Amino acid sequence: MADVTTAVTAIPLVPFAAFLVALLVGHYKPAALPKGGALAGIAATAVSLALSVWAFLTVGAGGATLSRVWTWVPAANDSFALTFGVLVDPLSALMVVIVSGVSLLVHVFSLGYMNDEGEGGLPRYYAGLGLFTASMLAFALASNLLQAFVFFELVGFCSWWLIGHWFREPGPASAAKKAFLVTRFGDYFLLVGLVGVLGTFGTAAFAGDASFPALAHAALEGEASVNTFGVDPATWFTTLGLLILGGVIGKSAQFPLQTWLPDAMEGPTPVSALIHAATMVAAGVYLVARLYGFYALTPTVLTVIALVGGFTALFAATMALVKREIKQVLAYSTISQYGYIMLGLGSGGYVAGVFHLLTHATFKALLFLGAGAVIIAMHHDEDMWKMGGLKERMPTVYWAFLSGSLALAGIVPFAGFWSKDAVLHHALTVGLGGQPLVLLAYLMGLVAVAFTGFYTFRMVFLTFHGEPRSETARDAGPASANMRVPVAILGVLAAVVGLVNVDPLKGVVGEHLLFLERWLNGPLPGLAGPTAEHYHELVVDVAGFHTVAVSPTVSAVVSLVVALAGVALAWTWYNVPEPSEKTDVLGPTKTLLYNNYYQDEFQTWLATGVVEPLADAVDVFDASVVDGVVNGVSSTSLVASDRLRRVQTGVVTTYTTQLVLGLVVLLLIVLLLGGWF
Amino acid sequence: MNEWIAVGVFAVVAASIPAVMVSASRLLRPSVPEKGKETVYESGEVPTGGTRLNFNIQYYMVALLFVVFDIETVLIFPWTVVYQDAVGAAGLGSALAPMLVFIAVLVVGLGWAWRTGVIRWVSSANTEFNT
Amino acid sequence: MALPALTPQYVLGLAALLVLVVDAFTPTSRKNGLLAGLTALAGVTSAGAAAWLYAGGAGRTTLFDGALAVDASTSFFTAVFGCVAALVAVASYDYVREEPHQSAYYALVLLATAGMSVMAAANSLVTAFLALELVSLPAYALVAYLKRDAGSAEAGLKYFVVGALSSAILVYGISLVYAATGVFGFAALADAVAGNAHVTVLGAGVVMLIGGFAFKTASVPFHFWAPEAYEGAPAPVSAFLSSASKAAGFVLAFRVFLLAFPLAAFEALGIPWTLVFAVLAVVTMTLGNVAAATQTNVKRMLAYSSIGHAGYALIGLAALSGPTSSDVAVVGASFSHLFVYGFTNTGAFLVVALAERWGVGRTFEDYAGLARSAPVASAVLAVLLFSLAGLPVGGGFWTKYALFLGAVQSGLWWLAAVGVVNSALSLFYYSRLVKAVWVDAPDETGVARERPTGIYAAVVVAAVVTVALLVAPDVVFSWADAAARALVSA
Repeated sequence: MADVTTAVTAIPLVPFAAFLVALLVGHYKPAALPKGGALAGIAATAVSLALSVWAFLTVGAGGATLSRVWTWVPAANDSFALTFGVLVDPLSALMVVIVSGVSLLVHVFSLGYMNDEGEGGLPRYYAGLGLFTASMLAFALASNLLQAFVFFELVGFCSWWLIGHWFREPGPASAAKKAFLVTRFGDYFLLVGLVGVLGTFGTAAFAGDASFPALAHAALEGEASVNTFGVDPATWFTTLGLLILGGVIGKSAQFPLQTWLPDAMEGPTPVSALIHAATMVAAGVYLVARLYGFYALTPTVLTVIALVGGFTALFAATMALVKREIKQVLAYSTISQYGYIMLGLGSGGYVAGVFHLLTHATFKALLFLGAGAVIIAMHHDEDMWKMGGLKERMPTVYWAFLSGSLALAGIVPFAGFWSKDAVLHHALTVGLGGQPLVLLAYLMGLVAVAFTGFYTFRMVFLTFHGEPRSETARDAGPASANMRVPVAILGVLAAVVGLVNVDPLKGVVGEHLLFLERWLNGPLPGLAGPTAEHYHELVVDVAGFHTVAVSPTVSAVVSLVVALAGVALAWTWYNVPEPSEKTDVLGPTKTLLYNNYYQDEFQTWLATGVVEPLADAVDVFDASVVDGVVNGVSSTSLVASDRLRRVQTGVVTTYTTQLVLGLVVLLLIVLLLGGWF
Repeated sequence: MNEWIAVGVFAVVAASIPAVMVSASRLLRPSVPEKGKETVYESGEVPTGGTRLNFNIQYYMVALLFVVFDIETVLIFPWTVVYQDAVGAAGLGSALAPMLVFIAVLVVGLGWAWRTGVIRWVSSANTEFNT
Repeated sequence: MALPALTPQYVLGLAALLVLVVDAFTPTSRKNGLLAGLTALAGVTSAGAAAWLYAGGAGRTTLFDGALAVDASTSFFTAVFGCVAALVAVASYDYVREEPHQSAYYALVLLATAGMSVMAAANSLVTAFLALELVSLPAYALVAYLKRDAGSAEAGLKYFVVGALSSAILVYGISLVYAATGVFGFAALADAVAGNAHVTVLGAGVVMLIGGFAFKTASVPFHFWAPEAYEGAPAPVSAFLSSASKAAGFVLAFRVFLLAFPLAAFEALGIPWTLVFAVLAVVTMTLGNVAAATQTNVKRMLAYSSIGHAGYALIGLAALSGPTSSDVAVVGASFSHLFVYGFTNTGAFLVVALAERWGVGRTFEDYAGLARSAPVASAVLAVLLFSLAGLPVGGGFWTKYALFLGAVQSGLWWLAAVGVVNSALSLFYYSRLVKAVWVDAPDETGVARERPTGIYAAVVVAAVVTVALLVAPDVVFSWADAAARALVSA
C-alpha cells in the first residue's frame, strides 16, 4: 500500500518542514514569521496528528505495513544493506498519535508560556520543538534498529537544544550538557549493541520473518544459525539485550543514569512536558516495547528490566517526598513512573507497560502544563512553600491538575489507577509464579505507590490549598486561554483514558471492552510477529515466566488502599490553612533525600576521583609506549619522505633514467617470476 | 642453444664496431690540437656567438602546419587509390563522407590558425607571432 | 529517444571545433564567458548523454569493426570526464580571464576530454593508443599554458619528455603484443593470448603496456612528471589532469586487462599481472602518501596525494582473483573511487586555484587563517580533504571502505592493511592543511577577498556532490557496479 507509506512518511516530515521554516525564516526574515514560528509548528503538528489518527484507523482496519523508504547503503559483497523504512503496527500507530497529540498541545501551550511572556529566541525555540517532534515521530515509525538509533540520537540532541534554551544563564546551559552527556553514556552501549546486532544477524529490522527478533527466536529453537562469535546463543542474546538496555536506561532516566532528568527542569516548562510525556524519556521504554520480541527471549534481561524498574520507581519516589519546587516533584515522579513502565515490561506485561506509557503521557503532560501555568502565575517562582490558595485564583488549572494528580496517585477511576494496577498485577502474578526477583521488584513498586500518593497530594495541597504564603501567590491571576485549553483537554483525558483497558473489571464488563489489549493483539495481516499475544507466548515459552492466577480485583484493591494511605497522610499534614514542613520528622534522612542520595556528588567523585587518575595513568602509558611507537612510525615516514623528496630532483634526465630503470626492474620481476630465465 | 643468441651476438658486434674504431683511431693518430679543429662544424661557416640565443620560431610554426598536411596527404593518397572500388562496394556516401569530415576538421584547424595569426610573417626577429 | 552510442564523444569533439570556429570568426574580441560556457555546456551535455545512454539500458555496442565498444563503463567514465571538464571550465572562467589564447585553452580542454571519452570506449590497442595521444598532446600544451611563467613552461617540457618516453614504451609494448598475437582488437586478443606460444614477447609487451598506463595514471615508477606538472600547471589544469586524465588512464587499463588479457589465460601462461598491479599499488600508495607527508607546498602535497590515490584505485586491478561477484565488487569499488575522487580532487585543486587567484602564496604557512577571510572556501576545503582521507564526511569513505573490503575478500589482506596505514598517514598531512586554514592565526587580519563566481561555484558543486555521495551513494555505486559487470563478465 504505497499511499499508506507515503502518508506515514509525511508524519515526521511535516514537523521537520516546520523546523526548517522556523529556522530559516527565523534567521533570515524573522519579521515574516508569525508568532515566532508557533503557528507553523501548530499547523504541522496538527497535520501530523491527523495523519497519525488516520494511520491509527488504517491499522485498526488491518492495514499494518512495513515498507522500505530509502536504501542508505546497498548490500554488496555478501554484506548487509542499511535501510530506512516505516513500520506501522499497533504500537507505532499508538505512539505517533500520543507524540503528535502531546506535541500539538505543547505548541499551543507555548503560545501562552513563551510568546505571551515575551521570551526571546522564539524561532530557535519552535525550530527545536519541530525537530524534536519530527525526530521522535521518525523514531517511533522506525523499521529497524539503525534508523531508531539515528533518531534516538537526534532526540537526545534536541533535548540538549531545548533544555538549554536560556543558554545565557549558567543553570540551563549546564543542565543541557548534563542531559546530553549522561544519555550519551548510555547510548554508547546501545551503539555497541547495534553493531553487535548487525554483526550477528546481518539485519536490524524490527518486524517480519527476516527481522532479528524472529531470527533470534529461530536460532534459539535451533532452526536458524546466526553468527554468535562462538558464544552460546542464549548468553550472546542476553549480552546484546543488556547493551541495548544501556541506551534505554540513559534515555528513560532509570537508575543509575537518572541524574540528568531533574536538572533538565531548567528548560522551559512546555519542553519538560514534551520530554517527560512523549519524547525523550518515552523513547527509552518505547525501544524496549519495540524490541519486545527480542527481549522476551531473554529471561535474564527481562528480570534486570523489572528490577531496575521497581527499584527506580521506589528510589525516585523517596526523593520526591521532600522537594520544595513543584517541577522537581514532577521530575522525580516521572522517573518513578517510568520505573513502573519498565517493571511492567520486564515482568512480561507488554500490554500493561504500553498502557502505562499511554496514561502517563496523558497525565504527565497535563501536570507539567498545569505546573507551567502555575509558574507563570507565580512569575517563575517554583517554590511550593511560597504558593498556597491558588485554587480560587486559577480554578480551571486546579481542577485539571487535580484530575492529573488523582491519575498519578492511582486513585480509581482515573487513568493511572488502571494502568499502574495492571503493571503491579502482572508483576505480582509473575513474581509468585517462581520469579523471586520480580516479586521483589513488585514489592518495591507497591511501597512506591504509597509514596506516590503522598508526594502528589503534598504538591496539590501546598500549591492550591490553604492560604497564600507570599505576595505573588496572593496576586496570582487566572491563566490565559492558550494555557487553559490544553490543560483542560488533558484534564478530561486523564480522567477517562484509563477506561480503554479496565483489567480489574474484566469479569464485569467482558473481555471485548479491553480495547488496548485487543488493539495490541493485532490482527496484522502479512506482518508476522509483533502482536501482544505473540509476545506473551514468547515470554511464557522461551523466557519461562509462568504466572499464578491472582484476581486482578484483589491486587487493585491492595494498591488502591496503599495509595489512599499516602494521600490520607498528605491530607492530614498539608490540607490545613498553615502547613509546616512535616517531613522534618525524617531528620537527617530528609537531608539525604533532598540531596538525591548525593548521587551527583558521587558521580562527580567518580569522574574526578576515579576516572581522572585512571586517565592520567593511561596517559602515562599512552605518552611513553603508544606515542613512542606511533612517533617512531611517523618519524620513520617523515625521514623516508625527506629522502623521497631528494629523489625528485627536478632534473628531467634523472626522471627518465629512473623511469626506464623502474620499467626494467618490473620486467625483471615478471620475467623472473614467470620462470623464463 | 637458444636461437635468440644470434641476435645477441649481432647486437654486441654492432655496438663494438664503432667503439673499436674510435678507440683504435685514438691510439693510432697523432694528437695535434688547434683552434680550427675544436670549433663547431657549421658546414664551412665560421661560427659566431654562443649557442644559446633567441631565434625566431616562425619557421617552426609553418613547419608544424606543413607536417599536418603532409600526414593528410599520406592518408588521402591510399584513399584515392581505392576510391573507385570503395564507391562501388559501399556507395558514394560511405566512401566520401569520412574523408570530407577529416578534411573539414583540418580546415577548421587551419582556418583558426590563419585567423589568429599563426602564419602571419612578422619581420622583427624577437616578436611573438600573436598579439 | 535512442541516441547514437558515441553521442558524448561527438558532442565533445564538435564543441572543440565550435570553439575554434567561433574564435576564427572573431579573433580579436575577448569572449572568455562564451567559451567557458560552451566548454562547460559540452561537458555537462556529454555527461548527461552518457547518463541517458546508461539509463536506456543498452548493452554493449561495437562500432567501426570492433575498434570501439560502448558499454556501461564507457558511459560511467564519460560522465566523470564530462563533469570534471565542466567544473574545470567553470573555474577557468576566472582563472584564465586575463590570459591570451583562451580559445586554444578551452579547445584543448575539450579535445583532451574527447580523447578521454574515446579511451573509455577503446576496444583495440590502436584506438587505445590514438585516444591516449589525443589526451596527452593537449595536456602538454595545457600544462605549459602560462608560457610567460617559468614554472609552467618548465613543467610542460618535463611532462612532455616523460610523456614521450612513456608513449614510446607503450607503443613498443603494443608492438610486442602484436608480434606475439598478430591482432589488435581486444576480443581477438583475448582469444589469441590463451595458450600463446610467444610467452616471453607477450610478457614483455604486457609489462610495457602496464608502464604506459602507469604514466597516464601517475603510478610509480612513471609518476615523476606528476608533482612537477601539477605544481607548475595552472591549477584548473592540475585539477583536470589529476582527476580526469588519471581516471581515463584507469578505465583504459581496466578495459585492456579485463577484456583483452583475461586473467585466467595469463595465469596459465605464468604472467600473473595481478601481482604486478599489487606491487605497483603498494609502492604507489606508500610513495605517494609518504612523500606528501613532508611537502611544504600545498599543490605539491595534493600532487603526491593524487599519486597515493592512484595506488588505492590500483587495488581494483590487483585484487582480481575471486569469483565473478567479488571481482565485480572490487572493480566497481575502484570505479566509484575514481568517480568520487574526480569531484573531490578537482574541488581541492580548484580551492588552490582560488588561493592562487587571491595571491596567498603556495606553502602551508601562507594558507594560515584563510578561514577568517574565506569561510566558505575553507569549509569546502576541509570537507574535500577529509573525504580524500576517507573520513565519513564524503563519498570517499564508502569507496575506500569498499576497496579495502574487496582486497580482504580476495585474500589480499596485506594490501588492505597497507592501504589503511596509508590512509592514516594521509589524514596527517590533510589535517595539517585543515589546521593551517582553520586553526592557525593569519599574518594579516581583516583581508577582504573577492569572490570569483566561477571558481566558487565549481568548488561548492564539488563539495556538495562529495557530501551527497556520502548520503545517497546508491545512484553512483549501482552505475559503477553495472560498469564493472560490463567489463568483468564481458
